[in-house]
Amino acid sequence: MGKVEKEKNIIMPRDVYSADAHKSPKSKPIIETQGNREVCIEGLSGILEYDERIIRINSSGMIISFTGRGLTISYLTDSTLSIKGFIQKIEFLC
Amino acid sequence: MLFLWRLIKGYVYFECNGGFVERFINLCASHKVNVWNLKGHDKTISGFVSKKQSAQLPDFAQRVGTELQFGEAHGLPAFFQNNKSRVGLLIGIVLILMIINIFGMFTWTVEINGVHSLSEASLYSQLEKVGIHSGMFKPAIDQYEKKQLILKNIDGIAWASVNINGTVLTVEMSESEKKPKIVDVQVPCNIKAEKSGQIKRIGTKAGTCECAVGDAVVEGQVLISGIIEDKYGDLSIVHADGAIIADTEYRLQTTVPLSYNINLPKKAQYSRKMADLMGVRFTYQFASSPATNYFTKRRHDSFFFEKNRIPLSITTENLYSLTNKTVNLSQKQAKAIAQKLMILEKLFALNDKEITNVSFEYEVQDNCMILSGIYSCVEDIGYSEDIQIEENTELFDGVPDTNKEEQSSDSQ
Repeated sequence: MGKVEKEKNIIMPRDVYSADAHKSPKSKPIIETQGNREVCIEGLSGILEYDERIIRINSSGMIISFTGRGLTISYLTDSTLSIKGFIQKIEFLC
Repeated sequence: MLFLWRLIKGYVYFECNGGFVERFINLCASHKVNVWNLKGHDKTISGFVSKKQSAQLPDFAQRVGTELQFGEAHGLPAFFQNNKSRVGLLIGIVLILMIINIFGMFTWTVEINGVHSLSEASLYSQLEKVGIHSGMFKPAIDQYEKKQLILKNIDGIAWASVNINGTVLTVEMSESEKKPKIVDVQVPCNIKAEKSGQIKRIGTKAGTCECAVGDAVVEGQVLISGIIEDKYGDLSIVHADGAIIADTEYRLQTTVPLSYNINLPKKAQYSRKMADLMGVRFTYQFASSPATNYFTKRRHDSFFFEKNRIPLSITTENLYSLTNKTVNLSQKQAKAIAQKLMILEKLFALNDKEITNVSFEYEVQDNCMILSGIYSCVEDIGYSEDIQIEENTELFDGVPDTNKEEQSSDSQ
């Protein structure tokens, strides 16, 4: 049993062992939700559509769509976004 | 915290109509322009941007073909800009900040924690004597020195700690345990009678009993001797121990004069008021004292804000003039007063004794009502008294050597 195999057995969240993982262009976005009232996305590359009923964001290799009511962007940086409102549906378009 | 930071730096409301508003947001994100609380509907978005970064937004709006409008500015810079002409307001704000800063350099209140049996009022006055009071300049407080002073000067404190938390000086204390009375059983002693009485019960644990049940004993008489003689006539000294229960009698007396003079206060005539602000005392309501024959009643009011004592207290002194009045009591009234006094007297004198019988005698003598109470009690009358032994005493070895004594007398 080699060293690599041992490392594979360790299960931990990606953001723990690599703080800048979401900044890599090939990495998948990290989505964190608090109930259906707030969602935080790390690793986005741009906003495609923005309305109070739908927000579609572009991420590496997929488009993520948030549908709901009264959606607002509570903060926005170059790779992070936080959406507040009444979220009804999250869709991944690959 | 973020809100406070934005408030200090200042922020502006903006609104974009038409064009590619999503691209506008993306441009903001890619150029690290922080926008927040974005709301969008029908190709219109609105939100907030910091005042400093708002200068970049017109360029982005031009690039994406949207119409940008700035709204009301918020935060401190906008507040100062709007109130530029109101110098008094700005001076007031500066003064308030200065006052808060200066007052924050002093201790407002002193709190004591961890004390259960000691009186807090007494502790506060003792702390004041060691230099701990409200209104102390915080940077000048040597906590270690104050702690040492508390331990040195205040009795009954085993451990202390002085902490400053904001404007509150907290003194944490731990009371010392009182030493139990240790009876040294190695020290030889006799049990003697503390009070005259008649023996009712005897319980000897060590020593030789020198009395019997029914005997009348006088104060100071030996009840249990610490000297034991064995069957061979040898003597040894021990620590006598035991209980001697006896019937005793106490005579308590109270005297109430049938006619006496008393000073009675009139209604409050003069009132003085003093304020204590962080240890600085000043009088703000003056009154001269009556010439003679008056007494002062003092009242101290502290103020609290949500359970926290604020460093302001008011002391009110009411000065009452006294008038001399002669009071004449009937014999019945005097008896009632004498009975009440007798109850108090009994509480202090016979608190730990079992009372079996009581009788009262009233007598009027020299214009006074004299009440005598005769209390029969049952109590342990024994107390231990050490036996003084000289170094050369040979009692431990048995009977003194008479030959030696004869030899010494011959040589003399």
